[in-house]
Amino acid sequence: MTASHTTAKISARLADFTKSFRAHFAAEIQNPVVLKEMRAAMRGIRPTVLLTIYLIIMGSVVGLVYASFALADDVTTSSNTSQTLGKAIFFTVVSLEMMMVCLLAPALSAGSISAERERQTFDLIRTTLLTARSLVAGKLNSSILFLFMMLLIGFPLQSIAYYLGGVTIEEVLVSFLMLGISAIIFCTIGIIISSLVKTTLAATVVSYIITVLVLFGAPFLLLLVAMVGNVIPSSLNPTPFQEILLQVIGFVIGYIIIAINPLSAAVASEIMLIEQQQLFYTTLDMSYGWKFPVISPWISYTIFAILVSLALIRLAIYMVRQVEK
Amino acid sequence: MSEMIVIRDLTKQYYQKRWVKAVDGLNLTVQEGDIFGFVGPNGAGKTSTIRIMCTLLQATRGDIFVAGHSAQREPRSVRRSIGYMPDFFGVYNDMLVWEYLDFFGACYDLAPQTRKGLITDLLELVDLSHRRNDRVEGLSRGMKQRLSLARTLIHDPQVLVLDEPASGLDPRARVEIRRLLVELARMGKTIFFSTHILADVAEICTKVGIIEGGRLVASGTPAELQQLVLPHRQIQVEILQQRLPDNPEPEPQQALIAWLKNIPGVLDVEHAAENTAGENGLVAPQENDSEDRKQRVRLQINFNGDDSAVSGLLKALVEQADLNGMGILQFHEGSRNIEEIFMRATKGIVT
Repeated sequence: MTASHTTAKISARLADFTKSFRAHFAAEIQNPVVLKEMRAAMRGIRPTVLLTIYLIIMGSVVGLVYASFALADDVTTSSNTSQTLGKAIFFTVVSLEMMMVCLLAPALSAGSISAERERQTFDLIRTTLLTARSLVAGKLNSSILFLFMMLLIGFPLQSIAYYLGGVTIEEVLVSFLMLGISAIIFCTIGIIISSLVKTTLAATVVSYIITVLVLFGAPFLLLLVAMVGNVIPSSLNPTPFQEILLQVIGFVIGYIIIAINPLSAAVASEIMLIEQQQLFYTTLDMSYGWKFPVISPWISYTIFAILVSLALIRLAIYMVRQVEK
Repeated sequence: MSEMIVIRDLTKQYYQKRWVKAVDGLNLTVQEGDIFGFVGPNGAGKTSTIRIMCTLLQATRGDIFVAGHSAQREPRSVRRSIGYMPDFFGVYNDMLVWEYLDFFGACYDLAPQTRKGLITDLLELVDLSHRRNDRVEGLSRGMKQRLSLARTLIHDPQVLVLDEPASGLDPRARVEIRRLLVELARMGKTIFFSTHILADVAEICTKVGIIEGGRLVASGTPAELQQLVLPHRQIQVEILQQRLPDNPEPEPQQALIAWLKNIPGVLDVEHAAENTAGENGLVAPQENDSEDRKQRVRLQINFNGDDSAVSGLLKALVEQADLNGMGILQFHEGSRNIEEIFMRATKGIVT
């Protein structure tokens, strides 16, 4: 087979992929479920009130952070203080946005399929030509779009931090990526629970329990691993090889726990960035001069969250597609 | 006319502490353009059959073919061919009327411009044009039902499958739905609907199927069913019994009844019972009736014979009544109503 033949084959496959992607994208843009859900979400005074309250809370907290710094020092002339304030505002805004994502995602998505069952519209939809994939994608996209809109309206507050300094563009981009990915995975959890549980109330409660477990269970586990890691080596009186092995096991377990949790992944990535000026990759010091290679946790979290989301979406589609037996 | 719905050896079993057959070897054919009334008591298997037809439920055995497509193997083709209205409203209350139809139109892959025109036409058909921009939650029950009917038509299906379309509606709304169904049949739609309301069946159905215990106990046109379930004719006679002083017979109608029983083709003669005579006002004389009413005797003759035999019976009856000093006030064949056919066809079995 000649090289030109192979190139032609690859370019044909690429063209097919692009065509299929465009078709899928167009289908998602025209998905009737997204339009219906967004119409319902944005109708009346409720969304305006919700957005206003959210911005007032965000603005007030940022105002308080600014005021506390302004009272202590002159933020307009001191470059160091200005940068510290910028970082503080950035962390405050990102933390609030992460809280908003975690609080709103289950509320937005947990009722998506179960509410259709409760309203008795699920059967009506299933007798149309709308596929299970389009239904799940529509429900997921509408929940995510609403969260993205909330993230977007917080952007002016983040830009204050960027203006004051102390925050790099990489940090801003990574924080947006992590918030976006978190919105996707928490909405996906809500959707899958909604497709498994019959009532919206039960689906919402289960979704919140899982969200809390994901958010706080992982740091708790990390603490537990750290405590055990401190106790075991000294009590075993290990050989150098055993010590290295135990350290590697401890690092791997700790890293996995960090990488599956948005809060710990964000904090660990930030520490890596501040202390080692590394955004993607670094090494950790071990005993006897050994080094442990580490990919920045935000990357691992992103990959983990995307894979889990894809698996959950497939499961939700399977559940919705099921014909009653 | 082609076969639009073919149900072949359909069986559906559920496990409810024990295996229960909701539908048991059902066979049925509905022709194009028919208004088919699927009648049966609660738990007869009507909804299970409809849910299998609409690709919502898997059959244990057998299949349903809609416009030639298998509900089990070609669900998308079946969905394209049917418009399904369940026995509940299933509406999005926070939507506007036109949005509701637009959403379902989009679910059937209709282009926005096509949907726009269709929505206007359908709202006109179901007489909801004036409520186009109102919220669905503000509609009355009857209006919601009409909106649901419009939804079933949005993709111009060949077959409409309606589960209890008139249940819970007031009399006016029921009449409106009935008129719409007749209008839709005139437009070429095949309509398959289940109902408890036998008056609706009698009024609009071209074919009827009676199901009980998951089995089809009778099916055909209303006339065929009458023939099948009640093979003899019921003739109502009202006689004026004149009280002549020289009449030697103390109970002249008894003599007439005895005479009638000897006529060839007469199976039985009885005083018209209230439940069968309601439509005609023929009521058997009661003890507390006034003297004037007592002079009228109403009889029901169960008769086996053709039209000329009925004509001969009338002629003989007039002569015999005259001999007994009586006159014939009314003589007509009673209509065997659908309730009676239903009661005779079913035994009250629930799966």
